[in-house]
Amino acid sequence: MYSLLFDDCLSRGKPLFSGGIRYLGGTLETYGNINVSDSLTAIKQLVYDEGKISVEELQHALAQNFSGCDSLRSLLLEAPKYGNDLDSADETAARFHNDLCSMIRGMAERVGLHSYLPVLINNSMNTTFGVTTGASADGRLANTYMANANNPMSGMDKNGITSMLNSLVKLDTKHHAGAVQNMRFSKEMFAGLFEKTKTLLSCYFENGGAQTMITVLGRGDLEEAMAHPELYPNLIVRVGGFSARFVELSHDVQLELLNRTLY
Amino acid sequence: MDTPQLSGWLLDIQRSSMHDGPGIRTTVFLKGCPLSCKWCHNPESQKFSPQLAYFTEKCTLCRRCESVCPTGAHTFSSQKHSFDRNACIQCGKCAKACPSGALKLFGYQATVEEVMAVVRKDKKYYDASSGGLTVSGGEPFAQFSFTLALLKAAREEGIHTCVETCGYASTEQILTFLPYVDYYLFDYKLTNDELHQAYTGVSNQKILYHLDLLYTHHAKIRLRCPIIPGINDTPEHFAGIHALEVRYPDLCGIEIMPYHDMGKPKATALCRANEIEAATASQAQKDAWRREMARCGCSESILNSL
Repeated sequence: MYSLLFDDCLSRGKPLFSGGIRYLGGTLETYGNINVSDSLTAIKQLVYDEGKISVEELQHALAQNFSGCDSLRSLLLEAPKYGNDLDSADETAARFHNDLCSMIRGMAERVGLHSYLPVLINNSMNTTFGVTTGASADGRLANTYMANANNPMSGMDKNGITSMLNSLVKLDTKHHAGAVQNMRFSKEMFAGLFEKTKTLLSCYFENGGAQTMITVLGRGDLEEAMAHPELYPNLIVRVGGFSARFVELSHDVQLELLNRTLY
Repeated sequence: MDTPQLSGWLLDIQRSSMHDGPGIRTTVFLKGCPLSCKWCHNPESQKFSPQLAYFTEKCTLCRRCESVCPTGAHTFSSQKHSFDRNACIQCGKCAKACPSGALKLFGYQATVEEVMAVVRKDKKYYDASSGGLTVSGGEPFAQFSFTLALLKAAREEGIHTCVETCGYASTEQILTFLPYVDYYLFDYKLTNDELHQAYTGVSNQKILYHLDLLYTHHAKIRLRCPIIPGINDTPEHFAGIHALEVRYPDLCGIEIMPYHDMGKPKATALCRANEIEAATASQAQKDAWRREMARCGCSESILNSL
């Protein structure tokens, strides 16, 4: 019955997926893209450009899930990461993005489709797949979540929201069929500085941004931020007329902020 | 030396600053200040040279600092990490090796061009929000040549400039800067000059003279007044703030900044004595200030900034 609603199916006498439709398009979801590009950035810098790590050392460390290789992992974690408006990491991410997208598009004929495009949305599958994926050269531990879609690896965008937005627009949107761009704001930022937030987002779209998914954080999230500070590096809070990164505040200061009335 | 190659001492460059002047800005924090305010919330910004900070509570006793320190400044005995500040040469190797963030080197050098390379990245956001570059500190005017070159470079690229200053510099310097600063965040700390000297190390006379001078030159100035419990939360000072409001009606606002003690852990980590007892201002305290300020004649807009 569904086939009746599409052009050509009736005249050809064939159902939708059996040659009835004139143009059949499909998509392919990819996961861990940014972990790949951050890994390539780290390998380029540390193995090839600076020679600080050998290929064998890296292989060993990854196989051991960095057990006993803390300093090597620190080097990998400190390497430039996508999402900070740093050329090295962002150029690798853009190149990998373009290559991957072109490759998928180029496979349309092979999979019997007229168009074949990547989709970068992931929902929570980046985590589901991450827990069965080995350690990666961006410093990510085995069996832990991977970066969501083409967003920075969680917690690795540490250079302010404008840097993150600048990084996002470097991945060309013309190559894919859809992507979700996560943005999390504190209530103080989103509501308290609404005009600036609005300008920030308009500017992002003018710069080529295609989509945004906004989360505004409240008090329960600060508790989370205290328990898992590595996930909240960009949570900016106002303290008596000043801005501060919540996770950089001392424990007591965090508690104080946490206990304030939330209106 | 070529201006783009001129280098200054920085603490940090903070992008997406929302509270350091109009619009969306990039704030460049310079190191070094001629004042030594006892309540300073960024004590790591006072000295003009790099400083190693040791946050005791973050130390995991991994002893990596001990193994990389060239002067033996880090020693460990019976699960205790001792840091000999006098032996430290501020090389920063331990901070690099420290996996827990217990050791941090404050202060690094960067050239005007290196700073501008970061600043210009958000030009579109500045243009859309009437934002720009803010030079803060420390005291921006204290690194005279560097700050001047940086502001000129920003101006040449059509970037709005703001300076967050304590107002303490030579008058000649203040006047030299005048054509290159679009907006001033100007501190007003204490009305009583004796107390000003006792708590900041310098007299407020020159500072007030510079405020007057800038105002007379039609500079855009927003006054920022830190209020520290037990030190300047007095009728005398509140009346002093009100007097400035009357004297300078065209200020771009007066902002009350209630004290918070976020600087204390940093002061401790830098081995700088906690010189004041004050705790972060409570809501009750702020309400009491508001009433007292109103009694001293302060306008609604001042009260509302509290």
